[in-house]
Amino acid sequence: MGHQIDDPTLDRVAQLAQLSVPGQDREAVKTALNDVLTLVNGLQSLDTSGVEPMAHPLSIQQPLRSDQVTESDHSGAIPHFAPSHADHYFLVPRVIE
Amino acid sequence: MSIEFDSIQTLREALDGKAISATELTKHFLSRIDQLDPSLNSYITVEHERALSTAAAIDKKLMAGERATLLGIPIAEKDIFCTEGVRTTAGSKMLAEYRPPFDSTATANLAAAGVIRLGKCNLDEFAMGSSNENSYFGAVKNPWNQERVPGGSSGGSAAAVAGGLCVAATGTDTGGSIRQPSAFCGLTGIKPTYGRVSRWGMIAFASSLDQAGPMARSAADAALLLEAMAGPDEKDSSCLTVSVDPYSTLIRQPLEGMRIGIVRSLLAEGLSESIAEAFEDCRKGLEKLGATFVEIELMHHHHSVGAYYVIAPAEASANLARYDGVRFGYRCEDPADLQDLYLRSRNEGFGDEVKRRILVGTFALSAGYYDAYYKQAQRVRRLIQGDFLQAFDQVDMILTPTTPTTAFSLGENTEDPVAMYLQDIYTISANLAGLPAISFPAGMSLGLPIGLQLVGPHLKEATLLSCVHQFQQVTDWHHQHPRNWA
Amino acid sequence: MMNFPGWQVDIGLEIHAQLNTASKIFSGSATAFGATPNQQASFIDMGLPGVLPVANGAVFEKAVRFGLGIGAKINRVSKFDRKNYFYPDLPKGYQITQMDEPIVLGGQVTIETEEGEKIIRITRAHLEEDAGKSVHDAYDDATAIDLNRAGTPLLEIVSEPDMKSAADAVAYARKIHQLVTYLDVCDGNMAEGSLRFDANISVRRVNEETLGVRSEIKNLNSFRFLEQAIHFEIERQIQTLESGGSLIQDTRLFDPDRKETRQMRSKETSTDYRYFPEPDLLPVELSDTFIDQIQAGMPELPDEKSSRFQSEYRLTEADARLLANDLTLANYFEAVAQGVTDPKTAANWIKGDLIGKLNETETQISSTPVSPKQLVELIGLIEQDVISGKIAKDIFQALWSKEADSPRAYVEEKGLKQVSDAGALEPLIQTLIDANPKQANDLREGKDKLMGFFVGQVMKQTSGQANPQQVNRILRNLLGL
Repeated sequence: MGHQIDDPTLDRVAQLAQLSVPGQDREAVKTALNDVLTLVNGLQSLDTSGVEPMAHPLSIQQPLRSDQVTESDHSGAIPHFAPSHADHYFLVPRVIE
Repeated sequence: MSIEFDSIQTLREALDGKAISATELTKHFLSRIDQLDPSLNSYITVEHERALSTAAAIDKKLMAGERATLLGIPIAEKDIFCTEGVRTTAGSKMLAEYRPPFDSTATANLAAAGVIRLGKCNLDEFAMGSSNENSYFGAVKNPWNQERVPGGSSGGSAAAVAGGLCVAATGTDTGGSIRQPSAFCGLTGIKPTYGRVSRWGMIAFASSLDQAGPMARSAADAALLLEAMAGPDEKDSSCLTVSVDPYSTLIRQPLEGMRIGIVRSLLAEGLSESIAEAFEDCRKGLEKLGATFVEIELMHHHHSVGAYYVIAPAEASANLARYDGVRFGYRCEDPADLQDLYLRSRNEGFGDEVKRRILVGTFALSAGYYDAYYKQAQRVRRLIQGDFLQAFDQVDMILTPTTPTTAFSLGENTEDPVAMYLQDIYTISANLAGLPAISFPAGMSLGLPIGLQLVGPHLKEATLLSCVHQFQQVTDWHHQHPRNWA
Repeated sequence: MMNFPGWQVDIGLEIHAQLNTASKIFSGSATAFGATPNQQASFIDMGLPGVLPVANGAVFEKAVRFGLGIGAKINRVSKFDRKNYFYPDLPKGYQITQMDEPIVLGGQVTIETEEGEKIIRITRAHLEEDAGKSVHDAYDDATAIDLNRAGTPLLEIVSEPDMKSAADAVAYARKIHQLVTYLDVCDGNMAEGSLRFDANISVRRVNEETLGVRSEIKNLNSFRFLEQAIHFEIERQIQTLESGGSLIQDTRLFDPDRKETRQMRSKETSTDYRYFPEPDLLPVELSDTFIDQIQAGMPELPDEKSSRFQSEYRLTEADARLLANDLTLANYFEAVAQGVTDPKTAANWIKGDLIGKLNETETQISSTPVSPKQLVELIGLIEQDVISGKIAKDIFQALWSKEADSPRAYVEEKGLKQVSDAGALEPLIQTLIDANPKQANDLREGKDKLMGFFVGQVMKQTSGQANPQQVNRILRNLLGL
C-alpha cells in the first residue's frame, strides 16, 4: 500500500515548490504523480531495518579548503545574465517585510 | 572518401601527416551540420566562428610540430556543460538565453587537450528524460530511423555522433542518459565511476547520481576522450583525487581470464527477443576471447527504478530551486509581486516533465513522507550497492542489456511517464551504486542498433573499456553507420 | 527588573555568530564587511547553474574551539544538509546547514545575575551559511539583492530555555559574545551584524510544569533590542493570557522604533523546510589529532583569567572580573601590570582613566590611542617620584590626544618634574606660613584639615610639581609639629 496525492497534498507540494497547477491540468498531474508513487511504493514492502541510509555513492571524506580568498570581484558580470539589475544589485519586485 | 565516421586514431594520423588540416576537418563537420542537422535537430547551438578560429590556431600548432592525441579533433558537447560566453540552455526555456560566465571543468579539460568544440547538443530538459522529447528546443530524431527517438537525455549528443556530425560528444548520465542513447544510436558510451569526472559547471539534475562521460564510435575513441575529461578537481568536493588510468593504453589488455557475471533475472520478462539473442551472441564472443561467465544474483536490483524515482526527483527539487527568475535565466513578464515572479517564472520556464519531477521530489521530502520515501529509498540504495560489491567478489564485471528494446517511436511513451521510466531499468542501478558502466553496440534488429552494458567495480573503467575494445577487434557492429539517413 | 507575580518566564536563545574567517564557508570569496554591492559574491555565492560548494577548513577549527570552550561534545563526523525555502536573498533556494549531526553537542556557560550565578545549558551549535541582504530602501519600486553576505560562515548556538528574564537573556548573550571573541571565533562586532539573536519566549503560571506557547522573535542585532523585545513580549503574552485570551505559536519581528513585536507568520503557515543530506558535500571526519591540537591551543577563558588576576596580581574580585571581561582589555592590563611595581596601580589607571575615556569617546579598547607601553612609562614616573599623580593625569590626557608620545620626554620638555628638593620648597612654604598666620596657628592647634589648605597652596604655586609628601614633611617641620 502507499500514499496517494490528493488535491490538498498537491496544493501544499506545489506551494512548497513555487509551482502552480492550473485547473485544467490538475487531474492529469495527479494521475501522473500517483503513477510515479505506485512505481515507488514497492519500496515500502522491503525490510530495511538496520540499514544505514546512503546519501552518497562514495565513502570518502570531504576535502577541506584552506581559508584563503581566491575569488575576485565578479559583480561586473551581473548585467550579462541578470534579468533585472541596477548598480550591480539584482532587482526583484518590492518586498514588504 | 567520407571522413565523418573515421576513428580518432585515423584522423590523428591524417592531421599529423598533413593529409587534412584541422580547419578542413572542422569545415567538413560544420557543413554537414548545416546541411543535415535541420532534419535531426541534434544541435541547439553551433559555434561556427569559434570552432573555425580554434581550428586555425590548432593548425598553427600542428604546423609547428605540436602533437597531442585530441589536438584538432572536432567534438560536440551536451548543452548541460557550462561554456563561457556560449549559450548553455540545459534544453530549457528557463536558460534559453543564458550565457555562463565560466567553463565546466569537463569542457576546460577537453579544450586543454586540444579538441575543437563544434557546438552544444540537444537534450531532455535538465537531463530529465529517456527520449529527448522533453526539450524546449524540440525532439531529436534518430539518424538510423527518423521515426524513432535517439534516446535520452543525451539524445542530441548520440544523434550527432551517430549521424557523423561530430567525431564524438560529451554526455551526462544520471540514470542511463549516456548509455541508453548510445545503445539506441549504435555508440560506445561510458558512464564513469561517480566522482571520476568533475561536476563543476555541469548543470545539476541529481547531484549524487550525475556523472559526465564520453559518447563515441568505439571503446578506443571513448578511452581517449575519458582520459582527457577525467581527473581530480578541487572545485568539486565529490571529485575523486586518485589519478586517471591511461585508458587508451590499458584497452589493449587481453580478456583472458576475466570473469563476467550474468544475472538471469534481468534476462527474463520484458526483454525483446532480438536483444536476448544479441546478448547470447555477445556472451559467446567474449567466451571465445577468453572470458568465463558466472551466474550471479543482484537481490535488490528490481527496486532500483523505485529508489531512483525518489532520490533523483528529491535532489532535483532542491537543485532546481535556484531557477526562480531572480538572478539569471527566464523571468516572467511584468511580475506583479515577488510571489507572481516566482510562480510564473517557474511555471512558464519549466516544461511538464521537469515540473512533474520537482513535485514528486518535493512530496518525497515533505513532512510526514520523508521517512517512508526518501529515507527508505536511501536504505534501498545501500542494499543495491551492497549487492554489487558482493558480486564483484566473484566477477570482474557484469554483462546486461542496456535497454529492454531498441529505439522506440517518437511519441510512443510520451503519454505514460512510468513506461518511459522503465526504459532505464538496466542502467539506473549503476548510478545508485556509483559504479562505472559502458554501453556498446552488439547487434542490429530491423535496422536499429542493439546495445549491451558492462558494469564494473569502482574505478575499473579500464577493465570495461578493454573488454569492449577486445570485443570490437572481432566484431564490426561499431563500424556500422546510418549512411542513408540524410 | 520587571516582576509579574504568579508568572514564570522561559527564554531560549538562538545566536548566530559570524565566524571571523577570511573567506566564505563554501567559496573563496572574501567575508570583509562593507564592500560595494555583490563585489564579494562569487558565482558560487550567486548560485549560478553548475557551481558547487567546497568547505573551508577554518570553520571546523573555530566551531571546535567554541565547543571545547563550553565543555561540549564534538561530533567527530560532521554532515551538511539542505534547508529548502524560497527567498530572494537565498540564492540557491536552499541554505546549507547542519540538521542531524551538528558539530557541537551540549555544553554550558555560567552567567552572573542579581540572584547569583546561573548555569545556562547549550543544546547544540552547528555550522551554516548566511543569506544575502535584501535592500528595501534603495529603489522606489524594487527590492535590491546584495549577496556579499551570502555564504559567510555562521555558527548557530542554540540554548535550552534556561533563562528566566530579559536580564538573564542579556547576561547570557553577553557571555556568548565574550566567549566567541575570546576564542577568536567571531569578531563580535554588533554594528556589523556579527552576532544576531533569535529569542524563543514563553510564559506559564508559577505552578505549571510544562512550558507555555512560545513566540520566536527573529533577528535581534543588539543587546538593547534583545532586552526591549523580551520585555515587550513577556508583557504581551501575560496580558493576553490574563485578559482571557490564548496564544498561538508564531514567529515575530521586533520594531525598535515602537519597541514592540509583531507577527511575521504563525506556526500553521510555517514552512516545511524539507531538510535532506547535502549531496554536493561529503561527511567531514574530525581526527583526534585535529581536536587535540585545538585543545592545546585553547586560550585562557574569562573565568580562569579572572581567578588568576586575583591570585597573581592581588586584584579584588570586581576588578579582576572587569579586566578579564574583554580579552583585549585583559591583555592590555597584563602588559601594563608586568611593567610596573604595583599591578593594582595598573588596574586603577585602566578602570578609571582609560575606561572612562574609552566610554566617553565611544572608543573600542582595540583602538585606544594610549598604548600599554606609554601607560607603563607614565606609572613608572609616579612610582619613581618623578611626577605627581595630578601631573600624571594631565600627561594621560596629552597621550590620549596624541599631544604627547613618550611621557618621560614630555615631562622633560614641559618641565613637569616633581619638586622634592627641600631647599627649593622651604622658602616657599615659609612665605605661605607668614602670609596666613591664622591658618598656621589653627593647624598648630590640631586642625589637621588645614594641612590640605597649605599643600593645595603649594601645589598651586608650583603648578602641581611639588611632591605632596615632601610638602607635608617640611610644613610639619616648620610648624614644629
